[in-house]
Amino acid sequence: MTTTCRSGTRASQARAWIAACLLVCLGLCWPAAGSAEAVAVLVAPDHAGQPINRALLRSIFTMRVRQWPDGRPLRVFVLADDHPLHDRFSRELLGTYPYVLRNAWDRAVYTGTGLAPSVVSSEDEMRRRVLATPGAIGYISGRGPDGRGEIREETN
Amino acid sequence: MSKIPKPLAGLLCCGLALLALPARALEYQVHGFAAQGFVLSEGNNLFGSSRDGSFDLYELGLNGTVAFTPALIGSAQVLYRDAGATDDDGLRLDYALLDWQFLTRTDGSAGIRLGRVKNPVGLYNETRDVVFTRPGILLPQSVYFDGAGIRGLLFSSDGGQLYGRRSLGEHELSATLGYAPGRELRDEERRVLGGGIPGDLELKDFHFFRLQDEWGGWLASLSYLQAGVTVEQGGNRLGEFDFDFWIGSLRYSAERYSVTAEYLYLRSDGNSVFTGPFRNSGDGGYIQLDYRLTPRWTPYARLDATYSDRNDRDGSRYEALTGGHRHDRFAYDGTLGVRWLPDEHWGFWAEGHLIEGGATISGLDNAGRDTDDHWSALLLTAAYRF
Repeated sequence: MTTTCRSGTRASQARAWIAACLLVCLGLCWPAAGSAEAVAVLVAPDHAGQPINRALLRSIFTMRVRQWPDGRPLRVFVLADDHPLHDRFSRELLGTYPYVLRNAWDRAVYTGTGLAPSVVSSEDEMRRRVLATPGAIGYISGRGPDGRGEIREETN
Repeated sequence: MSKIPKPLAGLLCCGLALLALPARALEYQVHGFAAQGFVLSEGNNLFGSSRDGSFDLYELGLNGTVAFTPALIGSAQVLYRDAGATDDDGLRLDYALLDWQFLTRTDGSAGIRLGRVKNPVGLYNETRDVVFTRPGILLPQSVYFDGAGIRGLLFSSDGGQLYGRRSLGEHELSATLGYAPGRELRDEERRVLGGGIPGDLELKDFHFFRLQDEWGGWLASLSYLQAGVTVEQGGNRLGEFDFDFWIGSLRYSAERYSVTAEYLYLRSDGNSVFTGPFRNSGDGGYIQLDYRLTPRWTPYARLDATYSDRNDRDGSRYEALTGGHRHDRFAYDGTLGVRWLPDEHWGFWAEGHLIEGGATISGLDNAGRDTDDHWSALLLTAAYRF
């Protein structure tokens, strides 16, 4: 009987979450203004206010840290090595390449000093899992600084 | 399987106890790998009787990591490896450790590891048994010698490590400090060390550090490792040997290519009733170019040089003094290879080596035969990981 109402709530909740938790891309977006698409970091709602600089971002995505600075667990989501968005994320936000990240993960996994990130199969799944997992971090595509990017608009 | 020392067993028990505690679901991961190699060589044997073709080179590993809390993880790996006569150890506990990352800040982190830990010396020592993490099938022998019988001693140790990392602008600095208390050598370690030495062999306390800086596409690191062995019989000290390893490493990773170079300086110092007092400085290094034709296909080329005595690089003084063969005192290895990673699980490697000099020949794989100082080898490997 309240199905409609509930799904409506869920949809608007989801929107609110996306609005609330997105992001931290600030200044880390494509340096070239007007580029077709940017990539933005997406964090779970429980860490929406977390300041993230490039150094922390690199530590997180090279799996060298396992917790947020507040001590709560960190869950890292990535797309496959050969996914174009993963490639763009590696270059634009981390300043490195997918193969260099892969080497860092292999090193952690085969020396027992870290965990590998969770690989998701699509951007949709990325969005879903990051928003649903406490302490999660991932990335999604967004529009360039000049466009009416969903992320920018809702972040600021 | 290697015997698990008491402190390590205690540590594992603590880990298991922690495992029983929490009411929430623990995050854990299980990974593994399997690699089968084939070696065909001319002149000398490399990993088994490779002059007739040898499959005596394989590696199987299975590891599990559990996050007890965000800061504390426990991890262990069992490894089954065979590499000709240089490694017949079979199944072993490769590592088993607790890693407590007690500090995480936006600009750095620090932690401590206890248990059987891999020694991060140079760029590849800690993952030298996993072909996916090596720069090729055969590690550059100038820095990561397999034939000398001491790989196991350098590879991992039962002890502790302190590690830390800090970001400074574009630079990411990291440091690891390690210590392991002395212990008696296991039979297998004695065998590959040369076997013939009588008495009790004990490994001295062991120290190492590695300092690393990463910036842009660059990585630079400096590693130092100090190890020693004492020989005793019936309470009498028959000999003592000390080793200092210094490794400088530099890598540049670009989109299509990466260049890696490492240099090893090895000083040994000792005195024994068998050898008399001696002191020696050897060194060596390599440079490797990897070119990613596509993300899946990577040809690579490497030049590797090893000198048993850096003050006698062509071995002529050695020949004059001992009557030995001067070619045994150096080795130059030119390598061409290709790596193909068709998907995230599979990997295939092929590489050819042209070698001049005998310094890196495995005595164990060539026991009882005259070695050849111009030799070559073709290596193939197929591997799977998950």
